[in-house]
Amino acid sequence: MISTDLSIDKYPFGDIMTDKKYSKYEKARIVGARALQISMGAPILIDIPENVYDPLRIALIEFENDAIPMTVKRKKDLFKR
Amino acid sequence: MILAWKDTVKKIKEIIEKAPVCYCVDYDIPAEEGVSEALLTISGKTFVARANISKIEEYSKGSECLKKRKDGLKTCIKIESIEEIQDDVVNYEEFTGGSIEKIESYAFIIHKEEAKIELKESFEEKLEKEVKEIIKKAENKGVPLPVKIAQKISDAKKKYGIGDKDLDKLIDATIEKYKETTVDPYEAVGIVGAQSIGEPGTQMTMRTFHFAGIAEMDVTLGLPRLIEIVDARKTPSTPSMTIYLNEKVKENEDKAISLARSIESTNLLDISDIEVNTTESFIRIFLDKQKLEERGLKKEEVIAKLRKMRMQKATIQEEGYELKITLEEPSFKKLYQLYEALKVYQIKGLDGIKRAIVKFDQKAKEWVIYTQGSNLAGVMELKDVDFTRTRTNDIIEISQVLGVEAARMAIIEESISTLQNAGLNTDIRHLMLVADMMTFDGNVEAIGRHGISGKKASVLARAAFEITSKHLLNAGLIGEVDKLNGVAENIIVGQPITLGTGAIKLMYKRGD
Repeated sequence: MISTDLSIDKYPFGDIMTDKKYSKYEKARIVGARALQISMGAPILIDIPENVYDPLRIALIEFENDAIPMTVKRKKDLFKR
Repeated sequence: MILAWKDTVKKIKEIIEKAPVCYCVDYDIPAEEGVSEALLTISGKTFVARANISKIEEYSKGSECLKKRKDGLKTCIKIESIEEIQDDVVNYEEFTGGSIEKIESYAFIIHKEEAKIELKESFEEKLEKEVKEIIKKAENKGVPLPVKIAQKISDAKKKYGIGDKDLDKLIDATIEKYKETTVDPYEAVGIVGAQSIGEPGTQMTMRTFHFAGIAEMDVTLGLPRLIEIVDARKTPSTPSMTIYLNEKVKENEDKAISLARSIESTNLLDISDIEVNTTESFIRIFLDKQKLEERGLKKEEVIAKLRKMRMQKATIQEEGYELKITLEEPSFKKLYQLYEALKVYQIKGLDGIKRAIVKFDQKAKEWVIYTQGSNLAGVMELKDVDFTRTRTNDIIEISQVLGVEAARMAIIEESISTLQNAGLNTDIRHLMLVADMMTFDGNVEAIGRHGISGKKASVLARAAFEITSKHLLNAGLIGEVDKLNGVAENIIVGQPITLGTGAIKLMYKRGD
C-alpha cells in the first residue's frame, strides 16, 4: 500500500509551498536525528565556527548548508491535491 | 391529460369522414376538466387516430349524434377534428380508467415525460472573468488560490481601481499570506480544533445558559445548542424555521399572514373543548369562536374535515358551535378510542409546525415567517415560499430532505452562528473539520460513543475509549486486525505516534 517516491526534487505536498523543501516536522526530525549522531561522536561534515559546540546547533548549521546525508521517505501522492 | 378509448376500424373511419361531430360511446367516462385531446385505438396496443375534443358530457336520449352502438350509450364526446397517427400505447402513462397494457374500454393517460438530461453549468464556468484570471495568475506562481480569496481580490480591484502592475503585487502579497495560513502535513489539526472550540465553550457556559427570543419565539442558544449540534440529536430541543417568500409576494403582508396561518398545525383540541358523556355515550365538542377566528378557520371547514375523518359509524349533529358525535353502536371502549383520536386530529396545517409568526425584516424590506417546529419538506412544496433561502435548524431533517452535503453546511453554519452569537470568534476551519468528521460516511453521525468515537476502525482505539473488555473480547472472537494507523493504538503499543515528527520516516541519501 505504501509506495515510496524517492525523488524529492519537486516538493510533493500538493502544488503549494514550492519554496520550501521540507515541512517543519521533517526539518525537526532530520535535525534531531543528526544532532543525536553528532552528540554521540559522529564526524562533522562541514566547517563549523569555533564557538559552536552544541550538537543541535551544529546540526542546524549542517541542515542549512544542505550537508546532512539524510532525507525523508514519503508516502507517494499522500498530499497531492 | 388525454382521453383514450378503444373503437372499431369502421367507426373511426366514420368519425374521420364526418368530423366535426358529436360521438356517443358506451363507456361511463367522467367529465374531467382540461381534457382537450383524445387518442383512439383499435388493438389496444397502438393509437391510430388523434382527436381534438371540446366536451365530454352525459348521454341524453334524442341527441343527434354519431353512435358507437345502437343502445347502452353513456357518454357523448364532442369531436372537433381528427387525424390519423401511429403511436405506441407504451409511450403513455395510465392515469385512471382501464389498463395501459391493453386498453379495453377507455383510460385517461398522460404522455410519459422523457427524462431530460441537462448539463449544469460547471462552477468554473460560472465564475467572473476577472476572478478566473486572478486564479490563473496565482496558479502560474504555483499556488492554487481559493475562489473566495480570488473573488475578494477582484472586488478590491473594482472598488479601488487597481491597475495591472499593482494587481500582480497584490496577488503576490496574498499568496505570501495564504502560505502562512496553510498547515504542514501531519499537523494535529483535530487536537487544535478540539481546543479551539473547547476553550470558548467554557466561557459560554457561564454567560449564556438561557434562552434568547426572536419575536416571542424560544430558540436554544449557547452551549446547549452547540452540544445539540455535535450530538446530532434526532430532533433539536427547539426546532424552528425561517421561511422566506418569493420575490412577488415578499412585500405583501396579507399573503404572509395567510401563509403563516395555513402552515400552523391545528389540532381539534386547539380550537375546542371536548367532553365525553359516558352515560348517554356521546362526545360533545365545544368549538371556540374566538380561537377559530384566530386561526382563520370556519365552523363549516371543521365539520367538513371531521366528516372526512376515518371513524366508526357515527353521526355528527351540530347545534350552533356545539357538535355532538353519537356512535351507532354504543360502546364504552370505542367511545374512548374516538375521544383519543379526536384530541390529536389535525384540522389543518403542516405536521410539526406548532406556531408561525410573521415579522417584517427592516433591512431586506420583506415579510419573513418564523415558526416553532419544523417541516422542511412540507414548507418547500408551498407555492409562495422561496425555498432557496428558507432554512430550518433541524440538521437531521436537512440531511433527510436535502442530503448530507447540505447537512454538512448546516452544521458549519449553525455552530459558527451559535459561537458568534455568544461573541466568540472561532476560526471556521475548526468547525468545518468537525462537520466533515460528522458527515464523511454519508450520514450525520454524532461525536461520541454512538457516533464516530464508537466506530473507529482500530480495535485498540475503541478499547481505549470505552468498555475496554467488550471491544477486546469481540475483536478476538472475530479476528480483527489493527493496522496501527491512529494515535491511540500507537501509544498503547509504545511506538511514536503518526503525527508531527513521529510520522516522518528517515533514510540516508545515496552517495552520487
